[in-house]
Amino acid sequence: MRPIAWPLLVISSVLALAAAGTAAVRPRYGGTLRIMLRETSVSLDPARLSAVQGARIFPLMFEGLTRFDAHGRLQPELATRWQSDSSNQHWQFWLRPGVKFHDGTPLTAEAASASLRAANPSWRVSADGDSVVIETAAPDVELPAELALPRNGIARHAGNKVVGTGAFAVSDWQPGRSLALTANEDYWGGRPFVDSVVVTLGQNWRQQMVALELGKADVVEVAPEQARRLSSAGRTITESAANELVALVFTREPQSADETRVRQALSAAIDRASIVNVLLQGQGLAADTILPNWMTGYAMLFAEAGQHTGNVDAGPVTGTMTLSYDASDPANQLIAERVALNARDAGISVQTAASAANADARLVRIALASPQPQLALQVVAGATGLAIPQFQGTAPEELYEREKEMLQSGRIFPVAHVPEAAAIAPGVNGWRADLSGGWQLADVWLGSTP
Amino acid sequence: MAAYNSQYPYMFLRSGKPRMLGMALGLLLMVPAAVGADWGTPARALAQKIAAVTGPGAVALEVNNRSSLRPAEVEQARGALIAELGTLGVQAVESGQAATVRVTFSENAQSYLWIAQVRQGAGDEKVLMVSVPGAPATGSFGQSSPLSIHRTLLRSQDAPILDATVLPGGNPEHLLVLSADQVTLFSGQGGQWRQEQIFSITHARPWPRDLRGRIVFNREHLFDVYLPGVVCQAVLNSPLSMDCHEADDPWPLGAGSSGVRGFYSPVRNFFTGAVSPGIGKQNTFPPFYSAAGLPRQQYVLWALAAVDGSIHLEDGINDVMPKVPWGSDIAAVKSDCGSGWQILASSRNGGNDSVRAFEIMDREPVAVGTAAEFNGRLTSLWSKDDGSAVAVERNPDTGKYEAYSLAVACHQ
Repeated sequence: MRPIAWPLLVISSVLALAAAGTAAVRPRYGGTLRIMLRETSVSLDPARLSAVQGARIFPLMFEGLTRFDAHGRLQPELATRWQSDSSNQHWQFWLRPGVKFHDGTPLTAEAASASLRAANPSWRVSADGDSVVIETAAPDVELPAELALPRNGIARHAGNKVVGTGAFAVSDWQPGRSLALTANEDYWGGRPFVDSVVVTLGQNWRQQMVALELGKADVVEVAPEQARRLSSAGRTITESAANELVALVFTREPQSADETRVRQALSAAIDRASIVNVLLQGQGLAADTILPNWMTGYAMLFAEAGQHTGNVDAGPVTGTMTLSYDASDPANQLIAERVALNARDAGISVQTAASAANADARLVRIALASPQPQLALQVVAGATGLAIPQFQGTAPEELYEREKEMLQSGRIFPVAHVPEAAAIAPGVNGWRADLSGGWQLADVWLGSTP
Repeated sequence: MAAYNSQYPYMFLRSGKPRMLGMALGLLLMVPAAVGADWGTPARALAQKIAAVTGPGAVALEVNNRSSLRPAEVEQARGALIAELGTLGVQAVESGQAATVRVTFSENAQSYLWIAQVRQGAGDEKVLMVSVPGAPATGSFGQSSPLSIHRTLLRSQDAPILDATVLPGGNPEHLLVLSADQVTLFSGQGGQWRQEQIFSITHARPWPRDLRGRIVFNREHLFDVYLPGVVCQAVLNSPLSMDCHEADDPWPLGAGSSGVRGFYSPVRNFFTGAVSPGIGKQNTFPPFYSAAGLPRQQYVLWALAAVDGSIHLEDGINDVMPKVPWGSDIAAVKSDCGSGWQILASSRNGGNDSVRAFEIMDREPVAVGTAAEFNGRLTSLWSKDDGSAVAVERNPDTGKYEAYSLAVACHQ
């Protein structure tokens, strides 16, 4: 309704500051960008990724047929157009002409089909001239969005190497330790500004921050709860959308009405506002929903319904349960302990344990993977072992109903939505992250600005 | 069948019914109200869903806005929905009906989302939704904070803009832009403004440097203009005209209807500190650049951005001076977030200014959202009667002055 385009805004205010500094200076080519990550990938084959993995690194090397832009809109990538039949089971994607893999091999429909078959054994994928035809067993209105996931990046196996078509090519790979990337001179989207990117893997947050302080890294990840302090200390911090879900996930369905009541009472007892404001230092949003409001627009309906605020007639309850958490993130332990404290006030005994295999519930932190809400909901369901919701279309009511069903299953209780944060060294310009947490490093350039 | 081969349609237009003020303005200005309403299609779609649940008859309709729609747009959308319901035999009334329909205008990263919660008697609530393609997809999104500030460009021009205001209720909408020597009236829709009339400002003395001014809606004679030592009023003749005279009448502080006014120095760029009728029993404060009033249950809490750089929170009894990095310009905005009112405060980082929203909690300003960044310097920030604010920046790339309407959208 508003034909005025907004000035290109921001995933975070600090990000905008970084961009603003570059306005008067043209980008410079050259240099090596040094990045540190916590993850410890052991494979560079996109087909081996889960739906929630690979958002940071893989899109640099491997491109999908589609992609999401910075505003969360689906855009063409290696496919320039697509269509489905009326059943949404038969899809055809026409490939961008003139694209080459890093080894010089032209991108063909056969190569793209082989790559997608490897990542999705349940799909029937075939080449049809310069197009890829995908047939699914059930209607899949989210297929174009699914193809934007890193796991569906188009890859070609060349000997013992896996090559893609992205802005950067692999020059050295030490599984789980480091990855060196070189600018793809022939990239169809234009050569990146930097000559190379070096990614050091398996570094915890403290190691990363030390490296940044010592000038040994240009970009490091930051724990959300540290973002505000670092920003106050003058660091340039970028923040994604609140695209990670922190939630309690029970390993099985409630076995009785009493168990349901105990779970509801536990959820109602959790002081989400304190968790966000104190433990996460205000970085994030208390969550009543699996999907954040920026993705759906209807989150207030769940808050009004008292999804977790005691609108359920819990009555006095007693119960005992174990809650496990991933100890690699200190915030997880703090949140789990706060949940246990809140639970005790409600008469429920919760024992917390790091990575306990047989716990009743887990405190999980799940990347929402895609700005496309239907797909994001499916990804969460898949990652938590819940039944995967199926969609007939993209009507918001259907999305709302499926999410409501997941919440009413008694298996998942949202706690917060948190952003992903990164600290950037001075001299890194043109930084841009997308809504799903991916980094657009092809636009980054190095050099001080006035 | 789904397909992608070009940009998705961005907007859709259809004819609609002019609203009362727009009609009055159209008559006054002898301008045909030719521009149609934008909200007909989604209003019809939602009305059909509502009518399918309630059937014909009277329903109690409540409308809330949690999106970045401006109040005038909310009013248009609400009107369109009521009209569409009417064509389906559903009469919207204030309250007292067995069937209640609560409509919320919300938004997500892709589109506006209109939600209707329909409850009939003791039955289950039905939730109905309509996606409305439009603005959010072209705006900033992905907030990880409870609210965000959305900007809508109202006017860009070479001459300095002192203030701008969208008149309430018009269809087409009417925009008044205040410059140093004139008020310009525009009419239009969806940001496409067409100049209708110019009203010259007469003044005997030269303007002070850093000229500031306000233009505020007036229910009786359409608008008032406040400039240093000069006050202008619209005169409801045909055609519309404006009279200016030298006067040191106090300017409205905060939103125009807030009641409290401040005396503005005729030869400087600040308020003298004298206010009328006073904040509580106090009517003298340090000289200040701007003020923002936050309605509370029993009183209005005022924030003053003093000339010496300090911030004063005044409730008529206490004077609290929080340490906050606010600039000279502050304004109050109404929203459905938090306490319902936030302060927008300017600040400067290097060559750029930004505006951030704050809540006042226990007399302490707390930032409650990401900042709205501007390319250049803010030259003006004023509260508006409709709960929005208008900011003016000078764009360093074009040299033009750009007036933006600022509204707050909730994300929680």
